[in-house]
Amino acid sequence: MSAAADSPWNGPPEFIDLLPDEVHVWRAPLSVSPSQLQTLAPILAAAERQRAERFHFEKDRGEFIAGRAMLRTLLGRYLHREPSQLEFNYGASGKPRLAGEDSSLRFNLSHSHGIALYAFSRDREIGIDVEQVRSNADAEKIAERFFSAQEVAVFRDLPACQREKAFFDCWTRKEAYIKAKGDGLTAALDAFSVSLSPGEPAALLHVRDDPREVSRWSLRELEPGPGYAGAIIVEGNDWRLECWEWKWQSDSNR
Amino acid sequence: MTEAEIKAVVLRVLGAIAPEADLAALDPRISLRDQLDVDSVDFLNFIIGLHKELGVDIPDADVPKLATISGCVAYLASRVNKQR
Repeated sequence: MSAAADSPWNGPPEFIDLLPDEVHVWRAPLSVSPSQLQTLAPILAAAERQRAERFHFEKDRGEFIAGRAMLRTLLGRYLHREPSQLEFNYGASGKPRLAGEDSSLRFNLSHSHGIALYAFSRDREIGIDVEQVRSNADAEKIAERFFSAQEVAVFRDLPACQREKAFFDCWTRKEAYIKAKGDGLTAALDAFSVSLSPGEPAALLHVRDDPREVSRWSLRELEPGPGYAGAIIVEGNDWRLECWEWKWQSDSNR
Repeated sequence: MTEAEIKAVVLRVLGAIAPEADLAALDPRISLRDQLDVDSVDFLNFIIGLHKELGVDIPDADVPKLATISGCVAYLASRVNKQR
């Protein structure tokens, strides 16, 4: 996952300062060595370590630990707090929030098949999603069942060769929105529409029950890496995006 | 359909999205997403698969009831046997 010359993912600055008009996105690989896992596991809370133990595969357990340690490490940097001391509570759909923190910091995270994205903002609700693009998704059936009528019409008009990318672009944009709202898959996914045509900018186009939502949020496509689709949605439109890549290299990196 | 038959269908559909997993070793009471690395598209595939196999319409509001194997079996048993 090395950054290509035209990659939007840059090495992070030594000191992180998140300004009110900035949105920071971090990309991290979740595959870490066993020795790194031993270093990372103590950062997690006891309940998180217990949750890690439930995973069926060692690989998934390791990725969960790495993902949580990464979240805590980044939050600790933004808040100038010890990562292991942070506490979370969870909304009805599982969206994590900092417990007992009087902070303007907002965050959201997503992972898919070995890669994680973390998004941070100040006083702006935020939602992010990444998905591995793969051909075994039943895209036609999922679109018919879960997409809005407007999205289904656009999807059906696309040539077959463009449908896979359009499907994942559409889904990541939809999921970023429901995550920003704090809704899970119980949200009425057909009650709002996003752009999905190739070449069309990412946008929230229509929200059935509240048309003001369209101007409340701005949606952008992310480039998580080859074989992945991603999207981020943030309140307001007066923000700029900084994308940074995390590298698990040495203890001094953490 | 009996609950055992429905469970067999649930595990078969799950096997399609997590082909490497030893499904019999999963704890039926723990969230599937806490035991397997399934992302949201995998989960949508799972719902579509259950619909295809059992002909049950699953409203969005009921999706959380499918978080565990036990939850799937209980929910689908009530829906399948009501529809037939």
